[in-house]
Amino acid sequence: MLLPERSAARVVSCDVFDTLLLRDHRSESRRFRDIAGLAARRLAAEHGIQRDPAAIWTARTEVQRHAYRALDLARPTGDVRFADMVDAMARILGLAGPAAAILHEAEIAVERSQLSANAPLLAWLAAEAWSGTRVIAVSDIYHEAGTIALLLGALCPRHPVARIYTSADHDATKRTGALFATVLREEGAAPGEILHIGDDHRADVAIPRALGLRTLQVVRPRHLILRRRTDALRARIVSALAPPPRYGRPGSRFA
Amino acid sequence: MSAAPADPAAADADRFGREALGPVLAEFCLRLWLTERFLPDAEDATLLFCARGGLRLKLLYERFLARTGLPARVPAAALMVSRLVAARTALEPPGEGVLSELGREFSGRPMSEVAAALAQRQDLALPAAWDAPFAAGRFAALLAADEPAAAALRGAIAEQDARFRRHVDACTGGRRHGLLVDTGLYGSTVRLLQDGIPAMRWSGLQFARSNYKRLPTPHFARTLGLSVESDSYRPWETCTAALRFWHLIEAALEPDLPSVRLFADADGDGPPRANLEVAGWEARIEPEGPGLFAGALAHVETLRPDDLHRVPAEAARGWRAFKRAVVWPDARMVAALELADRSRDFGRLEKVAQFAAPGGTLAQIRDSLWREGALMRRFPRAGRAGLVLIELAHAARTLRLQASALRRRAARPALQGAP
Repeated sequence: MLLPERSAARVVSCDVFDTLLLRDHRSESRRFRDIAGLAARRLAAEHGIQRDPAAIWTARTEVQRHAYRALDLARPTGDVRFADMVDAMARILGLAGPAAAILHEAEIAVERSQLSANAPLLAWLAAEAWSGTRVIAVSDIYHEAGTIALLLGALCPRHPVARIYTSADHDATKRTGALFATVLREEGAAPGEILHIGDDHRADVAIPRALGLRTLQVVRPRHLILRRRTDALRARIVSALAPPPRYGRPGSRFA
Repeated sequence: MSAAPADPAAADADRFGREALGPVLAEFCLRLWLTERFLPDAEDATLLFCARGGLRLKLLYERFLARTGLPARVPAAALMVSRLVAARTALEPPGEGVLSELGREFSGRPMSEVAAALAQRQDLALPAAWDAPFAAGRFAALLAADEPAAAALRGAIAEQDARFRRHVDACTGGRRHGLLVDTGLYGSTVRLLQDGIPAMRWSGLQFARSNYKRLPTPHFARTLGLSVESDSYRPWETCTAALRFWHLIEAALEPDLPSVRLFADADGDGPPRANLEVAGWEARIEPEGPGLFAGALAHVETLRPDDLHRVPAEAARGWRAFKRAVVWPDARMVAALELADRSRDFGRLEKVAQFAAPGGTLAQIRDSLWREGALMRRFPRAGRAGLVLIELAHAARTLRLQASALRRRAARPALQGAP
């Protein structure tokens, strides 16, 4: 990653995942499995509730998939809120109160364990902030700003990020340009006064550039991307080959 | 709950409904609930369960919500619609979507037949030019012609269309997003209504979405196949087995009611009534006796709120049972899944038999609505080897299609950045 000596910008805006906070080699599918495993263990240990990790994983993937597809039917510039996904998952899994909260806590715990701080970028941003540049984070993510602040605070306690904008909080995404319009308005900045840094070609480069922002792309190593894809493929094969679990239920031949 | 059937084939169909269709349809209901749960404009939307298959989906969905305690956010209504009715909305002037739909339905047939279907009248006295085989441009020109018979045709279509639009208004109550819930496949109704009534936003929430017609798909971004999304059968995707015998899904979900063709003004101030709304039509949506739908509904009736987390796993098992019965049928399943003749629809009354009339053996199998069933019916002993050959042919075809899709993807310029 080649960073300029100085940003020459009034505001430096940074993407969060795979930019400020780096994901490891695990695919999203694997991460969801890890979350499901942790949630299942905690539900059993703390509440005596038995839930198959595969059922939790399926609930997570089904809820996310259909939430985003519903969103695309009516407001494709917006985003889904994680709290709503947890609510739907809890209904499907028959959980309420503290047991339902485990779904949220397991997600954050696994995210924390699989993320690491992008130390060179954070050091550069700290220098920028020290010289008077405002540093903000802008993320297309279903989490609210408070959750991102929690992750940033845990993984890089002295980070220089002054404000966090998430697509879930503002119901507007980077990839459609709507979130950048919010950022420009809230920051009171002209597009040319902002340097945006991120990894995604569309959301972090093409769209902000079309809106007049300056951009800088950080690219994750090819070998890492290849490992993630291999990991995702392996997860798909394992999932396809695994027989669905049998449940006993009155009135069903599956009993 | 369905009563115990005396007929062994009906008993097998009922059991297939419980063990295969029921779990699969329960998963469809769960996904439909998730879609309405996350719909951002729920206050401006209506779930419109489309006649005829959608009427039974509505019944299943209502029972599913009642049994599981999941709350509905979006109002629901029964929409009296068919491709014929939707086509009428898009004829002023006819767009590409309606012309391609008519072209496929009436390929090689005289345009007077198309006119009779659209108007549902035989007294139009159309000029001889209408007797030519259907051609899109020519049809559009004839329909717009300044002569009495064309004007009468336009008038008949407009009168029916106006009644349908009043029916839509009554169903939606002014909400502007219509979500059409139906069995599927191509989603012609979504495409036609989007073209014909653009003041509303239309989306499709179908059991299956498939471009088996190989037509342009401008409406697919707004049309979801909640249980199946594939243009063809893929042996390693169990749910695509539905495409091997699609009429089974249709037959299970379509009540014994006529397809919607006409609307009549109601007595008093009520909205127009469709020809489907005969006396006691709502009761006829319920199962008429033991069988596919009765079994499926019976499965949904067994659900409890704490069964929801089991629905996906049970659906996976249901799909396996479905594939076993449809792709690898034995004589007993062939008898159990025998269907009554299927209607050709689109304003016509002709029927299509499940198994093609005797002729050449290959043609008889090829032209049947369920080829695997036709093969086992024709060759009860040796048919199994034929099933293996059919499956191998599908596997080879799917691999070839996936390889060419991969080659096309590789040829596209790579985008930087992880997703």
